[in-house]
Amino acid sequence: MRRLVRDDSQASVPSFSVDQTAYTDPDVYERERERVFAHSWLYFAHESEVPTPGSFLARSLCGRPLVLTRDLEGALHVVENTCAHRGARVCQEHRGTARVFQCPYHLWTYELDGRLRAVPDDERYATPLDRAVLGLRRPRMDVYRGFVFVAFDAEVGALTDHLGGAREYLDLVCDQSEQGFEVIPGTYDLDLNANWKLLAENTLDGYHLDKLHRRVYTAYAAEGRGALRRDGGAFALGGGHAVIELTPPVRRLTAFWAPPWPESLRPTIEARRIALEQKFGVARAHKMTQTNRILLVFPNLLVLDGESGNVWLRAFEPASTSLTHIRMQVIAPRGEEAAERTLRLREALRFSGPAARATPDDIEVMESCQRGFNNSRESDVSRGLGHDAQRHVDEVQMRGFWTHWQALLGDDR
Amino acid sequence: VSGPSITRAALEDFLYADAALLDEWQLDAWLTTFAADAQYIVPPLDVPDGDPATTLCLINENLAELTLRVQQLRDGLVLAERPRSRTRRMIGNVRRLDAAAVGLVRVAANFTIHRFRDGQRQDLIGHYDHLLRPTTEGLRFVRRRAVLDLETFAPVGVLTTLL
Repeated sequence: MRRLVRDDSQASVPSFSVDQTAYTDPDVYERERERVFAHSWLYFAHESEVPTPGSFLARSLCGRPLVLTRDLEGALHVVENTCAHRGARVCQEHRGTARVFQCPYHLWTYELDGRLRAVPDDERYATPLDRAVLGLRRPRMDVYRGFVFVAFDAEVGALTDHLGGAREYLDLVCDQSEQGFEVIPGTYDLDLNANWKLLAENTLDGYHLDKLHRRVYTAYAAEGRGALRRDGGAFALGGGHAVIELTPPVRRLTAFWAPPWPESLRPTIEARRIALEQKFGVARAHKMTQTNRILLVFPNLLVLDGESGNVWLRAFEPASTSLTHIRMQVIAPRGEEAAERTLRLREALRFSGPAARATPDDIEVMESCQRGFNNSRESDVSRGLGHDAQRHVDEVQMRGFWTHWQALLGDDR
Repeated sequence: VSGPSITRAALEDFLYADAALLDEWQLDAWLTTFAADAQYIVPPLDVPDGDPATTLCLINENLAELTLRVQQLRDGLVLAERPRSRTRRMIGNVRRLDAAAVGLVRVAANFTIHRFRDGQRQDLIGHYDHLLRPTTEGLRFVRRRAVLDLETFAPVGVLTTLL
């Protein structure tokens, strides 16, 4: 495959661009499925989505039906939702609790960890069934601070090695709550009629925020939320991971109170800021709570920490060159006060989501880009080249993504 | 108009007029059908009976927030409604339910909204569970709750239509 990322960032007149067939060519898509998604750790779920022993969550990952379970001892498992016998689903519900999974077809029965427990009328098999082989298959699974990752390649390296430079940014999120985070009920499942890489780029794009999303800030001003002037940085973290930081935050329930939030919440929020400074030091606490960040954990998880006062997860996966499934959820400190939870949920609706103020415009513009790619030009990704410090409105984070992507796809002309 | 004397036919007339205002994009007139203390709620697709205090809804707005939403739609600031979509609403199965509060009328109805824009078609199907307050000017929304039956937003990923 020919090289699609043109990196002349070291040239006397530096430039960086991407051939737009990277978003449209079915051969590129097939190669991505094999080289990016088939051999990588992929974000799958948050452990709070299976809260109690016996809980399960059935969900597809890259088109493959899986189930996340918590067994009766509390251990997490990911099993394929596919009977070892003839392939039917063994779990019909999206979520719930169960003691076993039973395939409706011939009633083969499995433990929550996938082991085969019972086969009805098994005397007609020539030799006794090998129960050790006939369980539900289990892809590789590992958990980092509540984030459950899956890999379909058994030989893939350790999850912490994969997370690499993204790890410290996930820590900056997770350290904000001593009692850990939980997913709030209510999921936005939506389809983007555009390539998955557009979503990664768009979410990491600080340049468009006060332009495409002017109406978000017009509405903030109308609600007495003040003008938004922000600074920040952009970083390529290696391995395709990337982050932009924005400061100051508009407001954050963790530790950044601002009007028009009720005065009654101010002491609690201030006390949390001070407690975090004492625990982690002023510099790190400042980074945690007085800075927003948008993190891409390559290849399929975006964490928007601080946007509209909340922590949003966007998990996504390609379904074709021009179709991407997106799942948006909010995570919040486990067991937080009802007043804070209610406020958090009202704040959350101001930016992300199919009916909120920013996401509909993002989706519209990404789909517009995808159609524009039929004219096959090159996308410019050069902002910030020629400058030492990379600001949040620059594109070094996208260049890191694209450089890693190109390396994975190979360049064999 | 007193609460108990409102007939189903009157509620149907009210809901048909409501649908017409939205299809005809008479948004300012539509806003006047909301009481000052109104709530506009659209629960998430996967928790259709969700409580907005504990569930991430799609929409949970007071009148000020709804007014901002309408202004942004009307002023062409919402990219997915510029140019605006064509919609056609069908209202059916209108039923009067027992209201939880004195002086309010609770009405349930089914809706189908066909939306066409930019070569795509979106079918929004669900039901209403409204609380209305009879006033001298007519019925006013105290709670407008629209519950979608969709499992996902495919094939169109946005919800810019007023439900």
